[in-house]
Amino acid sequence: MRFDDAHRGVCEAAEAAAGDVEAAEAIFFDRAHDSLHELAATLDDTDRVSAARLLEAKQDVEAELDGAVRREIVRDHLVALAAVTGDALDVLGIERAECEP
Amino acid sequence: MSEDRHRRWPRTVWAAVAVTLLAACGGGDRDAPSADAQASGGELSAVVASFDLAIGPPARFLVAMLDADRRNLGHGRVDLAFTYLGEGTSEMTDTPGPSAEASYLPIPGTETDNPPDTPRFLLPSQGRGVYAAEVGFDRAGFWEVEVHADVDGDGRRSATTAFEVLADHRVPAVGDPAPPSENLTSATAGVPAEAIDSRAIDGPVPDPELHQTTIAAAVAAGRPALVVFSTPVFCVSRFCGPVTDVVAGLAADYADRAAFIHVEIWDDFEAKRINAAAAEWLAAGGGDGNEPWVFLIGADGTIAARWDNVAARAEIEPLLRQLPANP
Repeated sequence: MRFDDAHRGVCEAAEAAAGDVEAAEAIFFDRAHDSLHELAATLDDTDRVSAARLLEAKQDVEAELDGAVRREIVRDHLVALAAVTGDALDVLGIERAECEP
Repeated sequence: MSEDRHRRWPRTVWAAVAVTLLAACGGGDRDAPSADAQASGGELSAVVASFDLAIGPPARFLVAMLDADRRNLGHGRVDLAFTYLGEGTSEMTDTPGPSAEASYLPIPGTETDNPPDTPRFLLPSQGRGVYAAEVGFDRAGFWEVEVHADVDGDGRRSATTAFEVLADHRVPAVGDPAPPSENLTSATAGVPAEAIDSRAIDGPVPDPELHQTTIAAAVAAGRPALVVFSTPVFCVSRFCGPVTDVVAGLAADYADRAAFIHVEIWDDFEAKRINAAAAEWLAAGGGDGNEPWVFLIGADGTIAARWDNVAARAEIEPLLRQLPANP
């Protein structure tokens, strides 16, 4: 399932961010970014607030990746995004893997 | 067109066309490159990324190419062959239309130094973009584009997709008078900062230089204006943030030639309330609210140019350079 894979991608990016921000960025964009947009669009019809939280958390990650590469902050934002993404999957009733980056 | 191709479009084609249009044209709340169109190679998909195509002189046509792994085709050029299918209400036709060569247009921020000449599949982290060509359509209805690409290491690949051409534009077009909107600015009292720019949810309004004046004021003063309609946080097209950054960058370099304005789409995203200025431009004429859009308004108050979905600095900058400096 693409959305579950996106969730796992965010988790893996968060894990990677602790040591290699560039690797985390590649994982985020290749595994999660586009699917997160689609997840938000899917949520849009059922839970507008969750869609907003998801897009805001994604924007926080992108803003940090776009500017400074402060490892701890990138990781914090990715951890937050992972949690919001997990919540979004729960809203949609999509099973997801455990994720504790 | 060949008989083989004709057979690929049975009478039920309109259902498929409708599905493709729903996904590709989006209604402003769907990801543009999410629709799989027919791919002659079995795995390649073409997705029309243009908004608001209509009859008229040649204008920019955008198409993205994706493989089954959702890698984006990038770099080089691809060939486009258009076919008019009909109005969608009766027996379809299969009338050959124009052809064009389309060049790769990378999403701002994903450009590479010394890009290769040959198309190749790219992971999102390696680059993203669409192919752009100037194409004119002479009749309204449903059209098909067949995209051919000589892909590096993969040979000749092709894919087709259908799209709609309107009789008239639904969003202000080149030559139209610019709606004199009173968009929100930093000086507007009583509005939350995120209604001015969605990125201001937990901080100051970014790019303050884009929130100093209104479209109405620029038009009244006879001052050219470059206006971007986008919602950087709540964007579902994925291109809003980069396009907004392009306009902010141009504002830094050409402030003496034009006003630069960012109009946030959402007054309140969670309440589904759109800012009035965005509605006036993107929905009042029947448009479906797709964004981002960038418009260049001339000193005469008419629209001199417009860019839908993807707008690169290299496309806009030459037009700004032609404007007289007026400090």
